[in-house]
Parts: sequence; C-alpha cells; structure tokens
Amino acid sequence: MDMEWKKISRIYRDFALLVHLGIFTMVFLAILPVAIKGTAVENVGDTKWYFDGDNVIMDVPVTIKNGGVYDINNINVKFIVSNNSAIFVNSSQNLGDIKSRSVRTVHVKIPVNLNHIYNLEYPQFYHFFNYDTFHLNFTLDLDYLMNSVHFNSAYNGDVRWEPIVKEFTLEHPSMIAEENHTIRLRIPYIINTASYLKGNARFDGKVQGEFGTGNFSTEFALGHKYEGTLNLIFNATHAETLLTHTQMLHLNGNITIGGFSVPLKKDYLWGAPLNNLRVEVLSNGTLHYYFENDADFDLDLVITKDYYRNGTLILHQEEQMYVRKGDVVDTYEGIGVNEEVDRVVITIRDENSGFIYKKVVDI
Amino acid sequence: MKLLKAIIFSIARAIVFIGIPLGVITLINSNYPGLLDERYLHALKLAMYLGVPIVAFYFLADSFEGIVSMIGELIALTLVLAYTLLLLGMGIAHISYENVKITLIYPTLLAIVVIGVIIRFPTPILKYLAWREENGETFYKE
Repeated sequence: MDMEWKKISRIYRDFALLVHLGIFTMVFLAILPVAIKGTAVENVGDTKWYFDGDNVIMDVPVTIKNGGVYDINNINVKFIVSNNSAIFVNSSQNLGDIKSRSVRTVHVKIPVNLNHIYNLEYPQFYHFFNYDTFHLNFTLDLDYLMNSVHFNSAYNGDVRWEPIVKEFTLEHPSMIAEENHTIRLRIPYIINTASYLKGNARFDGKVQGEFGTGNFSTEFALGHKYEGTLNLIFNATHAETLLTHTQMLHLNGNITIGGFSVPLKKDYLWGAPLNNLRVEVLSNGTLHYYFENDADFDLDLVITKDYYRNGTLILHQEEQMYVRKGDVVDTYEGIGVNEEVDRVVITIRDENSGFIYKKVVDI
Repeated sequence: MKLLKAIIFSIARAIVFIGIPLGVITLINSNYPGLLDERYLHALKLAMYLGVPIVAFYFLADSFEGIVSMIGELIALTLVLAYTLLLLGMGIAHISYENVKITLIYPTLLAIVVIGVIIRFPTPILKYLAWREENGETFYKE
C-alpha cells in the first residue's frame, strides 16, 4: 500500500503552518492596538452633576478609542456607592459597543436617587445638609476579540458627596418694620446650594418666639450662593414683646426642592431695640426711662411725651435721640409742668426702621 | 550540518520559550510591582521550568531521525501544551494595579491557541511515516 506519506506529511505541515499563522495573526491583531495604545481610554472628562427631578446624576464622560480590528462589545458598568452605614447607589448601565477603528465618548452616569436617600435618612436628612466621603466600587465589563476575551476590572475609590444645602446662615443686621397690621423682622440670610441644582426653591414655615408664633416664606435661586432677606411676619399684637424683649426665635421650616420637602430648623437671637424698657414717673415728679439697644441697627428716635390731667392734654414735648446699637439709655428728667398730671403717654418712633412704640403710664 | 541546524533551532526556541517571556515578566515586575498576582507569577515560573525540557526535546527531535525524532517531538509538543496552559493562566488572568483590579477571562481564546498546538501533534507522526516510507519500510507488514 503506497500511502505517499511524504506528500501527506508535507501537505499537513503546510496546513498546520497556515492554522498557526491564522491564530498568531488573530492574537497579534488583538494585542497590537492595546500595546501601541491604538485601543485605549483617551480621556476622562470632568464629572458633571445635574438633577433630573429624581436623581442627582454624576455624569463622567469617557472617550475610548478603538483602533483595533475587533469591536469592543457589551460594555457594562456597575457601581455601588456606600458609606459605613448604608448603600446609596447600586446600579448598572449598558454602554453598548465600540466599533473597530472608531472613537466614542460614553457617558458613565451614576444616579443618586434622592427619594431613596430621603426615605433612608428620614427625619434627619443628613446628606441633604452635610458633606460626606462615599466609597465607590466601580466595575467595568466588556467583551473583546469576537467575544472570546471577557475583560473585568474593578476600581475602589472615594467620591466626595456635595450636599443639596451646603450652607444656610441667618445674618446680621436685622431690621424691624410695621406693615399692614403686622410686624416684620427682616433678617438677611445666605443659602448655598449644590451646583447641580437649577431653578428656584422655597423655604417656609413657622417661627416660635417666647410670646407666640409667626410665619415666614422666601424663595431663592438654586445652584449657587444666594443672599436674600427673610421676612418673619408676626401679628402686630406681638410688637411690644419684639421691641422690648431680646429673645431666641426658633425657625421651623421646610425647604422645598424639586418635589422634596426637607425640614430645616434654625435658631436666631433677636436683639430688641428697646430691650428691658422701663418707663416710670418717680415720686419726686421725675420721669425715668431706661432701655438697651440690642438691635443690629442704630436708632434715630423721636420721643414724644404727652402729659394729661383728667383726659386733657396739658403739655406736649418732643425730643430726638440717636442711640447707637449696643448703647444703654438711662434718663431721668423733670416733668416740665406746674400743675399735677395723672397720665403720661410716651411714644417712641424710630426714623430708621419706622417702628412706633407707645407706652401709657398712669400716675 | 544536521547538528548545526538543531543547535540554531534550539537557540531560537530558547529565545521564544524562555528568553522573551522572562524578559517581559522581569520588565513588567520591575516597572509595575504588584501588577501580576502571586498565583500567576508562580505559574509563570513553572512555565519557565518547562521551557528548558521543551528546548531539549526539540533538540533531540531535530538531531535524530525516525522513532527517536517522533517521540522527542511528541514529548516536546506535550510540554508546549502544558506550557501554553500555564502561560495563559488556564484561561483566566488577574492583574492588579494601584486601585484597579483587572480580570481577563478567555477560555475561548485559550481553546483556539490549544487547538493550534494540538494540530501539530500529527506532524511528527506523519514525518515518521514519511521517513519510514523513504527508507523502504512500510507501516503494514506485507
């Protein structure tokens, strides 16, 4: 039996050589673009933050160049964002394919669901007001070389969390004014909100003093540091205590941002312009009045004194007095009438703020 | 002449199976310490140990003819198969660099490369049969 083994051997050797060349070429073409950086991550852009109504999105643009002859398929990213006490994000995203000999910018979007954080942190809402460092576990999966190579990479790092309300402070100086049977305390405030927010938000609620309650409401622009004035509105019946009694005011309100109502409490020390006011007529016929200007503003006072006897005005006196903030007024003055009086009405009006305070002293 | 050819081939195979992988691994380890995990480095060390007998058995196959050449090449190919499996980490490779851990899973690619090695196995047998034929011997007794 003549098998011509030499010929068969030669043909088979050539066949094996061709197969080898094929495999070598396939592997070489896969490795070469990676080795010469023809296939590489070209650029990782700046993270853009934005709010879509439900989620705070951290958008990381990643530009990938695939200079090879094989497509990069099934690009999947998975991220877990957590801190020591809770998991805030656990989601994945399919970024599709990158065709061979192409450059594509994929947007890796890490969504932080505010509703989830809201429910998780109710009623403290820590991350609505405080910075934090989150732990990020980032996983990238992709297929290469006609899906024969599966690539998985895991990255562990930290992400700085930017809270929704970065700063909220009630400032000085405050003012007081009377309008339409109400008394208003005007307090400047600064609110700094996260840069990923846009539009306007509201802050409203109630303010509790030692005397009773009032209310407030303000609107502010989101996404930057905003400076505005908060009007604390009280019924005019509370004017006396607000003018004459320095006290702590407790603001208990809600910030409404994009459908979320987040409670915010703040205390504010209100300095009364006529703190500890005392008006009295001494037995020696001397009028004595005393007060401390605890307010943030100077007082340009017009003080009128009306002296009555049996309901008849006997004398009307008016004087001006400038009282710097922090000053104490402690004045004794003789009543400038010869006949006896049974009532003194003292009216104090501040030209700067416009408040009027009236005190009736029966002798 | 045959011996000279065998020596030249041995030197070329020593470069391919020992020199280049060792050089690349040394370079990677010195430039990126910790990039390749311990398990993979251990497997690479084993692969290097296999490189020497591979070169030796190929030298034997190239230096002799007939049955010795066939057996030498078959053993060398078996060792190349083991070498390939070890070098390619049995189809999985773990790389760690700074904070990034990378896992490459490539059983299909490994299978293709292994097929590439297996396809070589009939070559020494066919070569031996051709040698027998050339030297007037037949495989079957008449």
